[in-house]
This record gives sequence, C-alpha cells and structure tokens, in this order.
Amino acid sequence: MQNWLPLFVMAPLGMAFINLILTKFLKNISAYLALITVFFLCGLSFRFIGHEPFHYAIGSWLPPLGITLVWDPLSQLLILIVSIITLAVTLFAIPYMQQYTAQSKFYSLYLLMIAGMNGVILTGDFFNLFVFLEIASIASYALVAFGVEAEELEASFKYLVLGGVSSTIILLGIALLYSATGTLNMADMAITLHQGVSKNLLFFIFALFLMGFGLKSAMVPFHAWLPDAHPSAPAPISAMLSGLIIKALGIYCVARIFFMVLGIVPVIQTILMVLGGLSMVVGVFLAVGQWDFKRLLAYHSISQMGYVMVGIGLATPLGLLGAIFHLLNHAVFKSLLFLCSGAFEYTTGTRQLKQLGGLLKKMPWTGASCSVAALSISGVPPFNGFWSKLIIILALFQAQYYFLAVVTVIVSFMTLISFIKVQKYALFGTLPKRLESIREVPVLMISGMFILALLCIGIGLFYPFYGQLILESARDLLINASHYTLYAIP
Amino acid sequence: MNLLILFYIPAITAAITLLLSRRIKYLQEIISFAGSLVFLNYALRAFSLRDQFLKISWFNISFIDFSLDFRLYHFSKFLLIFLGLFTLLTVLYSAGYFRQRKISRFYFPFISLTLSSATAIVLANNFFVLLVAWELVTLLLFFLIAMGEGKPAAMAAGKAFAILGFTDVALLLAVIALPIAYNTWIITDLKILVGNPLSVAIYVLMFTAAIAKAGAIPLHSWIPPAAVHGPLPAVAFLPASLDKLLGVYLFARITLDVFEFPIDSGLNMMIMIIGGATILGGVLMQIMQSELKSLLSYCAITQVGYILLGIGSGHPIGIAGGIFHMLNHAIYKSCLFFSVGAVEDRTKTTQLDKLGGLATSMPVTFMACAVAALSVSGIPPFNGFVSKWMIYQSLVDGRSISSMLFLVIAMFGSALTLASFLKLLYGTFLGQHQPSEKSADPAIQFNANRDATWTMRIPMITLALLCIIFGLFASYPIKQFIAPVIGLETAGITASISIGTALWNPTLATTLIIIGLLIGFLVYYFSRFKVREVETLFIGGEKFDLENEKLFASKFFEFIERTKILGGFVREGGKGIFDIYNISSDLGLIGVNVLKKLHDGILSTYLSWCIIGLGVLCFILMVM
Repeated sequence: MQNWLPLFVMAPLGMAFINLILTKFLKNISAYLALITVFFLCGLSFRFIGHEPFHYAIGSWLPPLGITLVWDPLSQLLILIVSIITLAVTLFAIPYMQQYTAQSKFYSLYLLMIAGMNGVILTGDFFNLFVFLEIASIASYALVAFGVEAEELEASFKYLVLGGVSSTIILLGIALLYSATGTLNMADMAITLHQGVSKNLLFFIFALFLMGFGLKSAMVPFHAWLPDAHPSAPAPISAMLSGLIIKALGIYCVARIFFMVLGIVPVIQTILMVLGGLSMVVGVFLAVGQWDFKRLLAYHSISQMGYVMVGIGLATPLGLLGAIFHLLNHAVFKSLLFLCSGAFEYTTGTRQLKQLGGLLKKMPWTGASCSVAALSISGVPPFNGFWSKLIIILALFQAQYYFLAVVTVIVSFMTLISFIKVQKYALFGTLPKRLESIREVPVLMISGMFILALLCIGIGLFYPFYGQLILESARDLLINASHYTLYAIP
Repeated sequence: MNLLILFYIPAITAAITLLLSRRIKYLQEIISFAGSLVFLNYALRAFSLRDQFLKISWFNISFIDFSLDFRLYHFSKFLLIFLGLFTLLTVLYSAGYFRQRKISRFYFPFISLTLSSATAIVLANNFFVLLVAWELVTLLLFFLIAMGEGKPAAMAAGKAFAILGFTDVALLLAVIALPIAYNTWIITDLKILVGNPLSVAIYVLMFTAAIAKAGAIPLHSWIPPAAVHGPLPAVAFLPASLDKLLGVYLFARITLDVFEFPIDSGLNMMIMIIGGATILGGVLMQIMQSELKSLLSYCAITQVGYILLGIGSGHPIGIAGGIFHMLNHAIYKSCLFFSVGAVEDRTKTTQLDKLGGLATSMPVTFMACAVAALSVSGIPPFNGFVSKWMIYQSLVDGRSISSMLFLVIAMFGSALTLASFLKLLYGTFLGQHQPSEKSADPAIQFNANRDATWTMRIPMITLALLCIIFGLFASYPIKQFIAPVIGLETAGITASISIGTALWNPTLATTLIIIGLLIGFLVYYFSRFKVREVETLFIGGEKFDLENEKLFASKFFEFIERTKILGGFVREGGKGIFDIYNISSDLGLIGVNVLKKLHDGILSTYLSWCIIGLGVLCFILMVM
C-alpha cells in the first residue's frame, strides 16, 4: 500500500506527457485520459483514508538526504479535497472545453496542475516543495491565458509577474533556511531549528514566507492578482484556482511550514489574524459592488480565505478545526459556484448579472446547484458553510476576540447580501427576451455540479460520521505539530 | 406520543410533494392538505399531553454540545395548533388561488417545510436548534416570495432576506455567546439576570431578531414589498401570520423565561418606545396607501406595536393581552389577505381606485373581510377589541406619564386603523360599482360577478368565525392558551387588577349591539315602502356628472399629505428615506467605491503593495 503513494504525483505528471503523445494518433482522447487519471486518483485517495502516517523515500534514498513523500492526516485532507473537486471539475470540463481549440494542451496543463498540487501536499522536502509549487503555478499561468483574448493575457501577465515575485521570495526563504540548518528535509529542519537558531534570521524567514505564501493564498495586501486571474480563466480552471490552488499552494503551506517546521509563535499568529481579518473585510466590500459574476466570486475567495487564516491564526483547537473545515467547505462551494458561472456563460454568453434573469426556470439543475452553493457560502443552515463559520465564530468568542467575532459575523452578512444579489438577478425574476431559446447544459456538466451540490448539503449534516477521521485528525496534528518529526523521518 | 412525529409529518409531506409534478391537477394540493390535516390532528392530541422533554445527542465539538433538545409545554402546545390550522387553511386557499395561475412546483413542498421548521422553533429547548430552524424559515420565506411574478418579486424577496438575514446574524451572535458566557444554550437551564453589558447585548441581539421577524419599526421595511409582489397565499401564510407568531414567540420567550430584568430597567422602556413608534409610523403609512395589499402590510406592522406595548409593559394583563393579540392578529390578518386575494382573483386588480361595489357580487368575501376589518380596528365584540382592551388596561394600570402617553398613541393608532379600514371596505366592496375595463376576455367579465371558489371561501369563513368566537368567548382562549404560559391564574392574583376585571365582559354589549341592529333592521324594513326622492345635486352652479365624478376611497385621507409635519413625514416615508435597507446600502456603497478606486488595475501599483507589505512585515517582525 505505502508504495502506491508516489502515484499521486506520478500518475498525473506522466499522463500529462503521454496525453500529448497519444493525441498525435488518437484525436479527442485527451479528455478521457484526464478523466481516467482523475478517477484513479480519487479511488487511490479513498484507499488511503485513515492510513497511519508514514514517509516514503523516493528511490530508496533515505532521508534526510533523499526526497521523501509524507502521508499524514493533514495531507490526507488536502489530497481528498483535491481528488474530489478535480473529479467534479473534469466531468464539467469535458463538454465545456469543446468551445476551445487545443484541448489536448489544456488537459496536459490541467494534469500538470494536479501533479503540482499533489506534489506540494505530499512532499517532505523543502526544495521539492518549491519545484512542485512552480509546476502548479506555471501551469496555472498558462491556463489563465488559455482563451488568448486581450483581457486574459493581461490577467495572466499580472498573475505571472506577481506569482514570480512570490516564488522568488519563497525561494529566498528556503535558501536562507538551508544555509541556517544545512538540510532540506522538512522534518530534519524542524529538529535542527528546534535546537536553536538566530531569532532575527527566523523572523526574517517568517516575513518572507508570510509574503510569499500570503500572495499565493491572496491575503490582503497581496491579493491584487486574484480578481483578474481567476475570472479570466476558463470556468473549470477558475474552479480549480479558487477551489484548490490558493489552498494547496497558500494555506496548506502556511499550515505545514509555520506549524510543523518553523514552529508557530504568538506574534505570527497575530499577524495571520490581522491579515485574515483584513482580507475578509476588503474582499467582501469589493465583492458587494461587483456585477460580473466571476469577478464577484473571485473577490469572495479573498474574503473566505480570510476566515481560514483567522482560524489558523487563532491556533486554538476550535479555531483550527473551524479553519480546516472552512477550507474543505470553501473548496466545495467555491468550485461549484465557478462551475455554475461557467454553465451560465456557456448558455447565455454573458457573466454580467444585470443581463441575466429567470434562469432557474430554464436551467433548473444548474440554478438549483447555484442556489445551494450561494446559500452555503452565505452561511445559511443547513448547508456546509454555516457550520464552519459557526465554529470559527465560536472559537473567536472562546478566545475572547469579541471584536473580530463581530467583524466575522458582519462579513458573513455582507456575503449573504452579495449572494442574494446573485440569486435575485440571475436565478429569479424574468427571463430576458434574448435568452428565451436557452436550454439546460449537457448532462456531464450537470453531474459535475450535482456532485458538489450534494457535498454542500451532506458535509454539514454528516459531520458526525466523518469529522473525527478527516477533520479532527488533521486538527490534532496541527496542535501537536512536533509529532511530525516522529514519522516523517526515520 | 413521540414529539418528533410533529416534524416528520410535514417533512414527509414536503418530500412526497417535491417528487410530484404540477401536471396532474390538485395532486400536490391534496397531499399537502392531507399532511397538514394529520399534523393538526397530532397537534390537537399533543395539547392534552403532559409537558415533556426530548433530547437527541448529535455531536460534540470540544465543550459545546450540539444536541437536539425539545420541550413540549403550554406555549408550544397552543402555537402548534395554530401553526397547523394556518397551514391547513393556506393550502386549501392556495388550491383555489392557483387553480388557474402558474406557480412553481416547489411552492407546496416549501409550505410544508416551513411548517416543519416552525414546529422546530416552537418546540426547541435549545437556542442552537432554534437558530437553525429560525434561519430555515427565513430562507423558505425568501424562496416563497421569489415565486411571485417577475423582477419585483425577486427584488422584494432579496430585500426580505437581506433584512431578516441581518437579524438572523444578530441571533447567531447572541446564541454563540451563550455557551461561552453561560456554559449552556439549553433554554430551560438559562436564567440570565440582565445587568452586565454582555447580557444586555445578548438580549438586544435576540430582541432584534424577534422584532424583525414580527416586523416592528425600524426593521419593518421588508414587509410591504414582499406583501405586494409575493404570491398572495404565501404572504398570508408567512409575513402575516406565521412570522408574527414566531417573532412574538421568541420575544415572549426571552423576555418572560430566559432573561430577568431588574425593576425599572431601561429595556422595558426601550421595548415600549419601539412599540409606540411602530404604531405611529405604521398607521400613518397605512392610512395613505391606495393599494390593498400594501395597506394590509403596513397594518401588519402597526399591530406589532400593540404586542410590543403589551408585553413590554411587564404587567401580567399586558403580557397576556400581547400574546392574545399576536394570536388574534394572525387570525384576522390572514383573513384580510385571503379576502383581498379573492378580490384580486376576480377583478385582477388590487388598486382601490379600480374597485368598488363588490359587496353584491362577493357577499361571503365581503362579510369575512368586514368582520376581520372590524376586528383589526378594535371594534367590540370582535377578538381584536378584547386583546387591545387588555393592553389598554395594563397601560392604565402603569399609572405613569409615559404609560399614559403610550395609551394615547395606542388609541390614536386604533382610531386611524379603523379609518383606513373604512376606506378599504368602502373602496372595495361598497361605493359605486366600477365597470371593469372593457376586457376582451369574456371569462374575466364573467368571473368578476361571482364570489370566490369554495376552497377560497372556507378559509375566509373559518377565520372570520374565529374572530367572532374569540371575541364573544374570549375568556376561553385566554384561560386555555395564554394563562398557563405566563402562570396567570384567573382568580386570586395579587396584581392590582385581576384578569377577571381586565377582561371585557361582552355579554351586555353584544346584546345591546344585537338589539340595536335589530331595531335598525326593523326601521329599514318598515320604511322601505316609502318612495325615495332623487334630487339633482347643486354644487355652486357647477355641473356634477355622476358617471364621471366619483368618490375615490384612495383620496379619503389625502389631506394628511398636505399638513405640515405629518405630511412631510408621510411623503418622505413613502420614498423610503426611513428604510434601514436603503440607508445601510448607501453607506456600504461608500466603502465599496473607496476600495474600487484603490484597485486601478495597474500592475506596478499592485507590485508596490506587495513590496510595501513585505517591508511592513519585516519591520514588525525584526524591529519590534
């Protein structure tokens, strides 16, 4: 079983290249190759659920010299999120991407992105983490520009420049860490750092990582690339970017590195909470004023990531649980919302809310999924977003951050307002004359959205059945972060 | 009897109707009707049960127990009956109302789901359960209103969800604070002495949620657009009756059970001021309306003021009167909405100017509407008078200048309510018959001369009868339903007036009224043979054309708009100046625009933010 772990990276990485070769001979196969890969990854991740934490030495080169992959509850959570969301997104993408040319390139880049994310999540080696981070980032720069319209190229360029800056800063941080500890294995580094290191250096590295990963997870003031990049990409990629990339490359890295390698300190916690609070407020204010559906969603990603950051910054058991839970929920409902926006664009040709209306009658499945997702993100019970927000607010109260709790609640209300707007303009009301001939989207697109809509309803209600196994185990690991060194290195 | 069965019945009804298509006529209606009938049956059986508790463990997250606690006791028992009754009548009425109109296939399932959630609110013994069910009711209201026609319905639904969503969030904040501050959110375990700022904050937040659902000023502005544009039976069901019951239920629950006020705390005064303001503001807007549904919706706001005054007075009679008024209000307001719906069904309009003289063609609707209108105006011997009388008694007994002031406001409100309902009755049913615009469709012409169908008549008749019964035999509902809630004994209470004297004795007055009516009838009967003389009108020499010059009911109170202070208030109010929704959205836009200006889309700006951000982080971490 343990020997299967590299397949999480190898399968999509290999398939990305095999796909390009095979399409030379068999046209139209790339979509199905991607689907098979994603199905395989999903099955594999389900097989690994509940597996004991372990490390896998690639090529039998033992750590700390060799590269390791580490399976533990935190990576389990992220791998599961990635597998399920990519499955739904791939189902959606197959009909949706028919509108574009060069599909084989799309699926190759898409698989590279998955490989990059899985690599970041599983790796136990710091430089390796950087490499996978770049694979995923570069694939997403290309995918954002995939439509090659002026707007998309501009967005991609901004994303590339800002992402490049953050990658450089992260690399600088890794280099400094390497010079200070003489190792690149994360567990080994944690042990060495624990024995003592210059405080100034450590804080400088913290600052670099805060900016670097803060940019990847779109924390204010490093968020400016996101509202351009996420809406410009094709809808499935927007779903991947907002649902997964900002979490795998941003939040996950913060949690993994700050808690397990560097060791969290109160001042960093405070900074994380301030950044999170700022992101929540700024993101939601910008979102409320938007009329472009995808741009509105993109701003909400900033705001919702703020919730997660606040929870992580609290670092209390309840706060971490809320953050992890919200991470999962946000992945589900934000991907779903982007898919719905894609479905609306697919049939109506526009994403301007003012030009839509009455879609619930013409597109009942998409409309209902959109409504479910909108209610989830607004924190309306019994949908999943309610539960995680509830836990985060409870945690803030418990830690006596009353002001931040009130801010969180108000942000939640403003999220509700902006999604009421989405629903009343897009789903309800009268259908414009122009759109009278539209029909529901193809069944594969519906199935992708339907899976996610079911998850939105189920995740909250069935918490008692999976909470301990998936969420609380990851939370316990973050609380006892020093356990990482017990299994990640022999 | 297992308490859970009360949720299961409507939930299963909803699930079944959800699967059914609207193509088969009356199928969804019949199943929903059967479901609510069964529910009503169980609710009646539950009424005779002893009080009971039910706890279902769900899960724990650290120290917080997410279990489902329920409690059946007097208050919930009698509310359950009325929840069931209103659902039953609404479903029956909807069957008639939607027989020719189109309605979403989710309409009937959502009505049943609303009943299920409302049952959860009423039975909840745990603020967490209450919160979840509370938000569900809001959500269902949003969907039900959005099922109305066109864009205005969507906007009205959005506004309702925005205002109620805000107050739901307030409730959320209050509920979350409970287990942190008081270690539990089980309602019967909580006994909070209002004193420290936290307890005041919790109370105010909960109070906000309660009055927004009930619709008191300043959180009322969601009701008028929802009432005008939403599907009418849904309006009669939720904003007019269920939301009032639930809002007042929560308000009464927290005020009477959970929180203990020190004597003469400012909170009582706050409640009464809100109540007084609601009466004044609501009634002034109400009297100016020329559209039936918006007139009723403002009236629905006004009446909440009485309930707040009654319960806020803190006097046992006032509390009993307030709760009784809540019940009465739900009864007559649904009846009014139902009869307006019947009028709309026949004439396709609800503008007062286009209506008139319908009493002859729609006698049942007229009678029901008249009974309900007289009830709401507080005319004896109908139910509205009894509860208002009790509220007045408690204010009189307050014996302070402020309570006298509130008494004056309440009576003033009652008088203006009567005035506005005379306008409604005259404009719609009496007066000259308005020839409906020559419609090409003969079916409409034909329809306009008949009363509503029986499925619509039965709910109206039932509610009108309840108005009369609860008026004539008021001591029965008070003894059975309300006295146990507040632990009031009909005899031997120590308050300066007992419920026996506070209760108006209707026997003598009713007899006198009936005798008066009889004499009037006799006079009419014997004088009918007299030949009536028709005189031509003389108005200063001008010609007066009876055909074209009509007395428009909507112009009755136009003079108010021309008066100085009141006129300004009414005009500005009509434009939505006092609407908290408009005010806050204007404020929000300022923030949005500032932030939009900052995001100019230029890469170097964004890059500089990143670099400055990094600089600041370095400064904080390395220097400080």
